[in-house]
Amino acid sequence: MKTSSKRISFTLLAIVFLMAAIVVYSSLIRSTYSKVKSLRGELASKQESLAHYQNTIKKVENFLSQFQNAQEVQKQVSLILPAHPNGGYFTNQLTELARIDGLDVQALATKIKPVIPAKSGAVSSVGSMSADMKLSGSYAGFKAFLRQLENNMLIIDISEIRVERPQNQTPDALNYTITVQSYYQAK
Amino acid sequence: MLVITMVVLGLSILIWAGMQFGYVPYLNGQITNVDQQFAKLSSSLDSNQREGFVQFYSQLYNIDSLYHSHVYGSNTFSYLETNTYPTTLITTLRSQVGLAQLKIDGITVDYSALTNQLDAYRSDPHVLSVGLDSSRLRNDTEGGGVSFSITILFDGSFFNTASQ
Repeated sequence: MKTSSKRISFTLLAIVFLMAAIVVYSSLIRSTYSKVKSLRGELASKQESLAHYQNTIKKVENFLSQFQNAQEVQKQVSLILPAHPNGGYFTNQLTELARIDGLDVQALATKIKPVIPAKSGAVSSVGSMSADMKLSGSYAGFKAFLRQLENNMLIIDISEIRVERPQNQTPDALNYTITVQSYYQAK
Repeated sequence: MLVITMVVLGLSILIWAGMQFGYVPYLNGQITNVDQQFAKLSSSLDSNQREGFVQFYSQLYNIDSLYHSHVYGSNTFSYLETNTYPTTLITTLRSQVGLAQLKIDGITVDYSALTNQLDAYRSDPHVLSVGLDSSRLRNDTEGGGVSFSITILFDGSFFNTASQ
């Protein structure tokens, strides 16, 4: 083979190698590199989330260990907002306070109202019970009764009050109708 | 030149093979490892403990919200005691706390006393309006005087704070 033919062959071979290198870069290296970039991004974001999660879990575990020792606080909280509808507790509060304030309970009816879902998904919803109550007795006793309901441990909201003067009774005794609401923690 | 292009091609293939068969499996392994740590952490909290915590937290949160919207229906009586003249006899009252509305039926001595009474009810800063729904002169057999029905509308804050 002549020197010039050899030179041409080497040059052609070099061009073929160069083109092969370009093909390897454009079709293999670039696609693999973009895959590597996306995997690195995914790993970094997961590692960051894991660090946050570990921190949160540590805080929750700390709180839970304190929470286990706070049974008395939990009991008190459940007296303010019971963990389930407790009609007996509610009616007992109403009738006992009426008795203490010298009022006669003429009628009492309670009903559980539909639960309104909480705005935030992180907390449980609140359900409510309402009671319609008819009473009679002195004006001073009734006012004391209302104040005690409003400042009671179990949260009670008065939604309606009706006072009537009876026709044929002692002027000191009045008739009262009230509608009140109490609340509980819904699941 | 041939040698240089051979080196370039060889390096290209080496880089690709290193990424494809070395680095990519390594990154996948790291991601699987992090996923496993997540799963391990999730199961580290007892489900009963978690439920109890959510329940307790919800109770505290909801108690706070309920106290913010707590109403004092007994404010009706302190308002009436302050603003009702001795010449006015209230026979019926209906206080609707949610509507901040009070309806009163009563009897007073004459129309002049009724006008004064309406002015007195209007004088409270929490009152938005006092409407005279009806009134009529009672004859002597009924005991005389003027019977009336009025509706009082309060502002939103009237029932939200306890009166002294």
